Amino acid sequence: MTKLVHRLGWPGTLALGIVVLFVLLAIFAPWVAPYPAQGAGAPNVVAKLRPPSAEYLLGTDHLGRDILSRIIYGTRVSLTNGVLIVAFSLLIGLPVGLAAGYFGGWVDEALMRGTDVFLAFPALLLAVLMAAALGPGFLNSIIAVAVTWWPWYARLARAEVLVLRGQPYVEAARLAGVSHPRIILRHILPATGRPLTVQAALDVGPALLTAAALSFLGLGVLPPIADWGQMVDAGRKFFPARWWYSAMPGLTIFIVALAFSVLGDALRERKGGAARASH
Amino acid sequence: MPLIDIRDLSVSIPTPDGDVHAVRSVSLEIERGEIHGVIGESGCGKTMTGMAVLGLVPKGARIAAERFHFDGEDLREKAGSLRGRRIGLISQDPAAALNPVLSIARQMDDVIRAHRDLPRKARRAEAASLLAATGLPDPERVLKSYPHQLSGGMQQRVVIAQALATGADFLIADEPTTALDVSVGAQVLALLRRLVSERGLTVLMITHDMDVIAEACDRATVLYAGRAVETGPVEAVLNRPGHPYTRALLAALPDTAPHGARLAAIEGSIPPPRSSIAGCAFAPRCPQVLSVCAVLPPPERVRGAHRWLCHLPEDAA
Amino acid sequence: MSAAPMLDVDDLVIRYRAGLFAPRPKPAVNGARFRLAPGETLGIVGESGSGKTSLLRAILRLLPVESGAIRLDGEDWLALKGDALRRARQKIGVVSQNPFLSLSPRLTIAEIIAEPMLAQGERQGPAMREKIAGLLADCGLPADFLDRRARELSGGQAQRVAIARALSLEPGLLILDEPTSALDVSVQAQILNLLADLKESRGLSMLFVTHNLKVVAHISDTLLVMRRGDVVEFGRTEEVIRAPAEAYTRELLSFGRK
Repeated sequence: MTKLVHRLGWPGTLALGIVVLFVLLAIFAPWVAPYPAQGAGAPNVVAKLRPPSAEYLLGTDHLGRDILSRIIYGTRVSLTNGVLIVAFSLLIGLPVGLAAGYFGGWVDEALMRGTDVFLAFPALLLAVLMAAALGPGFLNSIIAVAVTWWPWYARLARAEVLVLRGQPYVEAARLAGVSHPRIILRHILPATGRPLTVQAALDVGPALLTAAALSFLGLGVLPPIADWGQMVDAGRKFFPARWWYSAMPGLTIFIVALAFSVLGDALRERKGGAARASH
Repeated sequence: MPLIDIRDLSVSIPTPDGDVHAVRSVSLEIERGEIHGVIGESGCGKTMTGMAVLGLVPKGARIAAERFHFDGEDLREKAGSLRGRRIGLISQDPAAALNPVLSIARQMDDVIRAHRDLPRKARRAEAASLLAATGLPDPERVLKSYPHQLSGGMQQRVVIAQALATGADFLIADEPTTALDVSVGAQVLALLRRLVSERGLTVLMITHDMDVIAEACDRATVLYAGRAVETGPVEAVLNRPGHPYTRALLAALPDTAPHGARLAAIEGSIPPPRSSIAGCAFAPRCPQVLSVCAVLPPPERVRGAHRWLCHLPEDAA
Repeated sequence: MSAAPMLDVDDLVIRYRAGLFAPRPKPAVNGARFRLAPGETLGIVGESGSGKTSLLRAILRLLPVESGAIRLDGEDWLALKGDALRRARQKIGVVSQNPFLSLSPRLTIAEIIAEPMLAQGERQGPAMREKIAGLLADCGLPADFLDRRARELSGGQAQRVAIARALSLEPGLLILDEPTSALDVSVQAQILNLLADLKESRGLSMLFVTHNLKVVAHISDTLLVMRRGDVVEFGRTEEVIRAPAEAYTRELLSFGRK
């Protein structure tokens, strides 16, 4: 435990704790949520728009459903969103960046100019346009965001590969007659894979936030599935009188995104600190 | 009184796995106007000795010494204030010592401004004069340039000019020619010799290269495993070495052996930096080792101004 | 000794391309011409900007050549391309300056030495492992180094691994680029001795590129001195040292201890 704190610092460890908590909530939602049926979407018309109380800890929404349970069920959607967006982006971005960086020349030019087209648009705007074109829905919103995210990974992968390609031990392998595929598999990919997966893990938070923004605009999952962004949107018309409806999921989004951000800083700091040289 | 007077200096760096004895016991004296070479291989402590004089040892490092003086002042307290005022440093990589985004004029000006109270035109003239003193043929052009536009040798001259600008009378040159071509390095060493005789400077030359010692130094000290094992006039140390390590080092040089013959390599390797050493540090590798060598620290042998630590008697050398 | 040279370089010109509107630059290598006889060591000496690095990289086919010819063991080396080139590379073993950069930090020593062999189609297995252990032994390293990683070794040990790797495909020519420049003097002596032993036991020809004239004067049979792209000196080492044709060479020789 102290080793963990030593590596991440107190804020980082706390952040990690929050992230782990949310993952656990997502996995064990039906058992943790006080009103699992409502969390899943069943209405409870007798208790519409009740403020936070002992019975409904965070209040109820316009269909009387317990907001706490809805938020807990919402973790499933949010975390899956975050992970899948990042995974798809990696799946597209990594090979593109790898090919561009390793082969250089016109391959590099072609791939990078293609990447530039996507980067020319503000990310959120492009995501919204794509989502609007594809229509609402779980998978569609993920694809929409992934389409705007992959160029960053392509750029990152390409930069890493360029550095690696110039390394003497890679050159030594070329001189020994090792073929391109073998070099990529044995030397380039493992070395590139690590910084990229670290970056990806840290991007889950921001990805989650973007997905929440999309569902806030009504372009994400459709009700009755619980989704934080969608809940914030739904609660807007009752704001500020029944503030808890928007505020609770909003606060949750804030906390989770902040946790990922702090965790990311802590991990980055640790890696950077080790590189500090003493005389 | 020697300008640099060091007796039994040790520098230890605490680490989670134990103390690293970077310098175990170094004694040396440098007179004014002398170029003193400190020679040794990696891990011998030569750079750390220089850093200790500059007060630039790593945080947490412990310095202990019987005497550790510069011009009578105790370096354990005064190193920080002496650095940049009377003690200057010339490092291995001149490009790293210069700011790549500032012109030479600007960098020279920064240094001159910190030490002299002169109006702008006078400062520029002073910068040009210092650059000329280091042998640069076109000081005005150099002043207008950026470091990357200059060759390695020119960059090193600029670094030396900066050191002169501080008014330092003692320079520590840490491998000043290692990153330069042989011919260019020879010029830089010749420059240092000239500055020493013209301006009364004193130089501590840290190097791993015997040729540098031969070319540029008056006296030399040989370091092994953090200990100064031999010191004396260069001519004596190189031609009549007393310590078996010095002898072995000289014998391993390729120009010592006849063409094509095997080189006299030294068996074994240096003792680990965290180990404590009883007796002579070189004992495990010494071709003339005696049974007492591993047990008792070797006594000092003297031949005039030439001293070394060894259990073997003077005439065995 | 057979008459055909191991390496035959003729009128080699290497020129780097400048920008679109810049004037045509002077060649980095200006018509180099020399021969390396089998079983001999050719030392190539030069300072920075001399062209020795460009020459070396061109011989390694890492740099395009503007004009001239290179024959390796009788074959037209520059004409080879693609797979044929990749396979022919086993005739040359390469050792670079910094072993900690030229050895992969993530692989074990055994994997590093096996890599060239696997690339040329040899199979993994106990036979290969034995061959690798043999190579390590020839380079003065015990077999328990097989499972270690490069960062656990000293500079001299790591360079020995690099030499073992260079020998894994049984090349006829060993090309060494400043192999001892990053090593201490005492370690340098060990490595130079090792190279001399290997040259004799395996009948290797060696191309030794360095800026250190004293090292190369000791170990090479023939000597080539480069300055600003031109070959200013080429001949038997003893003759070049005894009667250098150029003042430049004399200057390089005179530095240091007399």
